[in-house]
Amino acid sequence: MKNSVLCTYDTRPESTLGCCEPIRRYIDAQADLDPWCGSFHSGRRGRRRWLRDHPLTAPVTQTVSADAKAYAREYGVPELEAQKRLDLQGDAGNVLEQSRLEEAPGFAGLWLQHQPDFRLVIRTTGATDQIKSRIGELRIPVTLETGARTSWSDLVAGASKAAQAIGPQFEMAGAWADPKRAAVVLDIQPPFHDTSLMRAEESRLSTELGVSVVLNQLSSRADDDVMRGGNVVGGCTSAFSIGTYSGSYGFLTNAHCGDLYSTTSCALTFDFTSPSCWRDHAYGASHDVQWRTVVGDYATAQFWDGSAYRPVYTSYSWSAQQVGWYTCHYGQGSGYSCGTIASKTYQPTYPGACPGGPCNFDWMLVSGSSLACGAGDSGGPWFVAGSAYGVHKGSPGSSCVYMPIDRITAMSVFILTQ
Amino acid sequence: MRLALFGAIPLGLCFVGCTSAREQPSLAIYSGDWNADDARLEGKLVQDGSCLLIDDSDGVRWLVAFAADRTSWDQADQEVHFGGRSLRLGERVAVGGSSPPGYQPEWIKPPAPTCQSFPVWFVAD
Repeated sequence: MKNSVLCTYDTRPESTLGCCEPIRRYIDAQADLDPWCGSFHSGRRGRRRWLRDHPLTAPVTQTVSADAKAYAREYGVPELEAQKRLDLQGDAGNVLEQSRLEEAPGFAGLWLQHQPDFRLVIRTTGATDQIKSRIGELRIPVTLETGARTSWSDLVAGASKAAQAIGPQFEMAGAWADPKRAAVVLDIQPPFHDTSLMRAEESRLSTELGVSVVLNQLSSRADDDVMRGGNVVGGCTSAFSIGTYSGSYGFLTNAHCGDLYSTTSCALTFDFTSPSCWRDHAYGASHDVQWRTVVGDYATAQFWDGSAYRPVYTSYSWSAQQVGWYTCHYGQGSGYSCGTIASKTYQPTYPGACPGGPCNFDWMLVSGSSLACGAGDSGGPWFVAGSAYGVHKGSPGSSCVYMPIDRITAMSVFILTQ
Repeated sequence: MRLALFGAIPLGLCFVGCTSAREQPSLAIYSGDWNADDARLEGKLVQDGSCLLIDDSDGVRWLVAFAADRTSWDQADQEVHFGGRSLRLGERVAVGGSSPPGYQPEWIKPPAPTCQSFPVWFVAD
């Protein structure tokens, strides 16, 4: 009896189609019976009989129903319509899996459109006969668009080539072929690049490769939420993970990165990517540091150096660090570079360097021919191997300035080490 | 003909009254060297009255202040030039610098009175 149930819009048995799942869910949800499984339009008695023969399986019903509710919220359609679409999506998937459309001459991509109406859009470079014969009869509405300039295979190949050819000033997070835009999309990691630079690179790549290339600037880095040094912290970088004597954990960045008193809003006031809460800061003639924490995340004694996570084993104080020592840093703005300590008694004098008065003559100044520092590096780590040296502050001229790491004791915190 | 005339009147008025240039922003200029902190502010460069602002992704509008060195406003291109760089109105931009709390610089040209409600970002070159 169970396997003989049929739906009016399709003659396949339920066991192969799964089309009656919506009815199950409908009954479960006590909603009005609409339907696209017309054979159940037989009134309450029919529904009761169907229920008897098809005992509901609660976990499956709830899971699928939750997905439909999410769809309904996202696209502003009734939940029953949402469920119908999800079922049609699965049904189309079964057909497309067999069709091997990617191998059809002229295939230029496809996508499922949800708004303004629900349909499958298939794009081709020319004739549609091959496409039509491969997809056969789909229950989902289909639009065939002709006139695409680039085939799907060329677009996919173009994504690979573009990923190789992009300029070194851009750090990629991923590359993909977008059938909707008929373009290769390259996802670009922060830091942010000026619009004009992005457009110029798009133009160059498109011309060179013969496919449309779009650069997509990601607003946050594709990293996890573990607290450690070298993370992107809004417009700044984190230096190292710290602990407190009361058992709390967090990370360091510059005090001048802002949001110095917000324990409730838990986000920096300028473009903080991962919400984190301010805990304390030291900001004055010899200090430019704050520590923050991401509630629920853990801190690890590591930092990102631009290519790998390094463990932190120890740290060197201002007294230990000397002129001529070689030291390196990482920041989201300039990346990784190194130089030698030119002074450990440097006084930053630029406007706004130290709040409330002049800075002391006790900052670290680093210079070097391959050294680079810039916007976004603030708060980042200075180090050698697994030793913490300091917290980046600024870059007057072509040199770099950092605060020696031992000054974090002003906040009663310590560097986490392995 | 009457319809055409009605259409031409507002168009004609617009040629007279609507082509006047957008108000030139009043650049806030601080004294001394460039700020050299390496925090980064990014967002859309916008103009609100005479205020030149960066509207960040959190919706905070920062008044951008520059050092005097090589800073100018290009009214034709709607760009601010500073320290060898240019930022165009309406585009997404990124600048270095900081906004030290409580810091009161010496101003060469202070923010216009109507701009003083915005937090100030001291741009690095």
